[in-house]
Amino acid sequence: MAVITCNLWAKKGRIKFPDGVEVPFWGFATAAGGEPQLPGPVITAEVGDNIEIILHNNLAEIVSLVFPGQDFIPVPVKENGVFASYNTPASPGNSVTYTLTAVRPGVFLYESGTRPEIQVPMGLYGALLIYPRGYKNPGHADYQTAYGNNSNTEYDIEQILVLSEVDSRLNRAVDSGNTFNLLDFEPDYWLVNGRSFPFTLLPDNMNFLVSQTAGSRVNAAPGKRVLLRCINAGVQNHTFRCDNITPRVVAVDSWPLMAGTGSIDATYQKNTITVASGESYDLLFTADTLGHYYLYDRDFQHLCNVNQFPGGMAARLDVIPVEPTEVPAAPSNFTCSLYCHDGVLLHWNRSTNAEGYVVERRTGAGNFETLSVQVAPELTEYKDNTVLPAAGYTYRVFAYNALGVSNYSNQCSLSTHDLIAGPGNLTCNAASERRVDLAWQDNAYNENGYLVERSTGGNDNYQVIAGVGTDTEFFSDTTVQSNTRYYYRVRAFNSTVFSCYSNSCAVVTPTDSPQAPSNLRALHSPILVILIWDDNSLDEVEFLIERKTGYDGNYIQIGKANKNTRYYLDFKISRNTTYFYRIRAYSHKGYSDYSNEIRVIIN
Amino acid sequence: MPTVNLWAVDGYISTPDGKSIYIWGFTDQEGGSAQLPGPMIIVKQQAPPDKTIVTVNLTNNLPEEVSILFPGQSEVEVNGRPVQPQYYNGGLVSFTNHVLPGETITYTFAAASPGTFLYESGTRPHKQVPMGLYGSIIVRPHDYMPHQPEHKTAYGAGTGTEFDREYLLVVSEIDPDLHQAVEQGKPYNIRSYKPRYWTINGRCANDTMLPHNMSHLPNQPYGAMVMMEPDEKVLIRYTGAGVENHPLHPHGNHTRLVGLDGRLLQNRTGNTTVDLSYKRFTVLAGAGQTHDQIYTWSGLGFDPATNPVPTVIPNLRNMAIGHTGMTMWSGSPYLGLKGELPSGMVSFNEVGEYHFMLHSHAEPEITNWGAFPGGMMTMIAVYPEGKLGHHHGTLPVESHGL
Repeated sequence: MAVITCNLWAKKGRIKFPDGVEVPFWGFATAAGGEPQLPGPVITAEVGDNIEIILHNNLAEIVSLVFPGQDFIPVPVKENGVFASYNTPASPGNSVTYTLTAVRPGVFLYESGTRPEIQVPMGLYGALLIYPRGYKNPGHADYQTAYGNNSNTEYDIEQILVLSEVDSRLNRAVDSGNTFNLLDFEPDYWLVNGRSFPFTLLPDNMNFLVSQTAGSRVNAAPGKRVLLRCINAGVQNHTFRCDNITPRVVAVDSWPLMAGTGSIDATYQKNTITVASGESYDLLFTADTLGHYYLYDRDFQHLCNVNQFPGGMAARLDVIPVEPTEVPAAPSNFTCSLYCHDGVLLHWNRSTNAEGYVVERRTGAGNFETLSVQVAPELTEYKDNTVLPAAGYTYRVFAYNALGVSNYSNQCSLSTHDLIAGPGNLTCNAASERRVDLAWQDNAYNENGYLVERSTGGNDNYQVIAGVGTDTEFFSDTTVQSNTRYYYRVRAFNSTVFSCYSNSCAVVTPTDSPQAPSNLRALHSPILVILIWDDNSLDEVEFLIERKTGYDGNYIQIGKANKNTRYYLDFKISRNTTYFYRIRAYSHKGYSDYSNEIRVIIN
Repeated sequence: MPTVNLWAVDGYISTPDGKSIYIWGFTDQEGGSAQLPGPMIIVKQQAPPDKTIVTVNLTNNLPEEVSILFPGQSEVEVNGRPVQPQYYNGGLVSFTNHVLPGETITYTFAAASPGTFLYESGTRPHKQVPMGLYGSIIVRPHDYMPHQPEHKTAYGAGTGTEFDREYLLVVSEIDPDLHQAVEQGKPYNIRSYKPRYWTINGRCANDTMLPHNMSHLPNQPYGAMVMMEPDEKVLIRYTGAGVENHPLHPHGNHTRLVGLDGRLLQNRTGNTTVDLSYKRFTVLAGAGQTHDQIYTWSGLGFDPATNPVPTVIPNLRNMAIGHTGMTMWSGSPYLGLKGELPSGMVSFNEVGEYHFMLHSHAEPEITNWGAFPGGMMTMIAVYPEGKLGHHHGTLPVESHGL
């Protein structure tokens, strides 16, 4: 039986999210001068080992560890008669040693036992993995099993997934020594192995994620048995879903569902599993068809970085034919250009062994920052719409796979002096048979004006029909014909360049004479007929009501209704008579067609 | 092989407190309005070794891309190739192949296991699924025969899943702010998701207790009233289509869970069968999950003459009859008999049946915006033997054309 010694330093650090935000946290480092990690380093042992954990406290308050699921007796501590810690703590600047014996295999948490409601969300947690004794020993019955032979837990590829959340306001408050009301706890980031999507797909040890060293993307070849060890270190429940995969649950809270020889097989299949706070599930399946399989929180609000989808608690299984044996080659032929002067289009060649790319950008002489994480190897293009005008930018890209990252590509620089923002939100409305009103949003500051283009032949064949001046956001086209479909688009211009086009919009101008009213219907009693119709005309002056008495009568006009009205009351009726009604609209352009005719029988 | 034509469209649904809520959803009628939940899809498996290939044609009449995920199904493909996540400008935009507004996409999948399944959008699901783009699929075993008791099963003859009646309950939530933001084209903060209505089969109680196809609920065609007779086995299929988890329980008895996420709770190794079904009172109908369970109720045989209720029944004056407007009690504690009720009290009891609530035990969820009764609640009505029509609790063998 070995003795596993693990030194942990509890200290402050910073974690980064894909929206560029940095948040302070408290984590465990593996060296006195090392960066703290989120989650803390994985502690690994075999059944029967004695585990010795020495916790060094570099924080400004007492800290301790507890080991849920392990065979140990915590020693709660009081300070001045008030409960202070669930287990023996280390005071600031000092250390404490915990020893425990690994009794049974499984995936467990170690987490702070002091003010855990604050310290665990701050990041003081990690995974403890205990393996059966022979798990590394080919020929041993327990080789490559999670819970020993006869537990149905043989695997080829194992991936730990530690689920958690961050409420950045809690972290900032606690880090500055302020109080935080836990009733206000509302996470804005969700994490798998300490990172948010798409950073979860990057390999381990990314240079810009020094405190978040663990990726959570899994590679497997078809036929390989994959063991996902999901453990929830957060305070919320998370519903873990595997898209297009139905794994088998082989253990819950590290109790195997097939406990060994002679026990029943109580494992079961499930594709979506709610993992409660503190719970763990071991999921086993065999990788099948090639492709990407997302593993994510079906509680969809957790799939965001603050408010941006996609993000948050998502990882991925890639079933690929061959595991990469080396890091990818640097992407070649990296180019950058202004695309219709609205943004920068980046392009590069796909590189061998790449599983994705990371694009970086530097503004002027500043530092390179991560601009985009491209999550698949065929995504070799990116449009940067966040550039500012009159600035100089430099871009570069590198490739990544499960083993690591490539060298950088060539750099590409350009300036955005010719930038001109295109208009947006173009709308067009037919104001009449002879006028279409256009409106758009002026997004540019350096335009000399806008050009309006129109087409009658579908969404192409545009011709310029007008130009308007700086800061204009509307135009009335009075050269249109009635009853015709038109398409419009608009773009800004200045003395050197044109902007991108706005969206296009389509409109149909109404017909000349008014549209006939329709759907004429009536309610009636022995003394009153109420006529109701649908008003389809835009600019009628009035509606003319006609009535015919009896089958052989002639239609005469009996009254009028004001424009935009849709009903008429006819009191001048007799009993035992059959009436017929029809109506039409009248405008200064003439009469519309008649509506439908209806018959009303008065008894 | 079944083919289902679906359109992704918009529409409105009604809540009992008079609200009209804009939704996005599926319909299987060309030119129809969205329904909530989407059309029930029921298919019957082919006899092995043939595969049951289901074809779903989705036409998109919404202003953005949509798609359909089929959790728990096998070999989900588009154009003969397995579905894949979709990317744009380097980033993930959809968990599966999606379709642009105005166009049609054809999915096929192999219904490899009987059971209850969800179908839901995989594009911007944090918005589209709460907006209503979800529905349920029932896969029947290949030997299903509704007129032969040993073959009227959820998972096949001999699996211990025989039933007399079956009911599908699809649960979800509605945050009216989300629906209004989408209706008006305004931005919405996903983190502020705060449901105010909770639904079973797209309806809030007491509409859940009305029959199917109520004319004043044209876009919410499925009722959720469970009706049975004593000693019958009732298969209740939960589908959790919301983003939250709901602790559902019936009163009157436990249920026996026989299937989870469309997989039978039974293991077969060689000649040994291990029955993993278990009884539970409260089932957490989790987000994205399905539960198949059997509910039974057997009376204690109380009869006013031969075996009366062994306690003193309180005087009518000492009873509190609810003022909630839904008095289901017959006035008598005996099944099949009606008794006296306080004057002025209207009872909805028909023939002396018993009513047990089936509801989310997270009590705020059985309200309509805080007003009780409402929300995620329905009843199990136990009718005296012989008094319940055979058509109650009957779903078609298959729903869409072959």
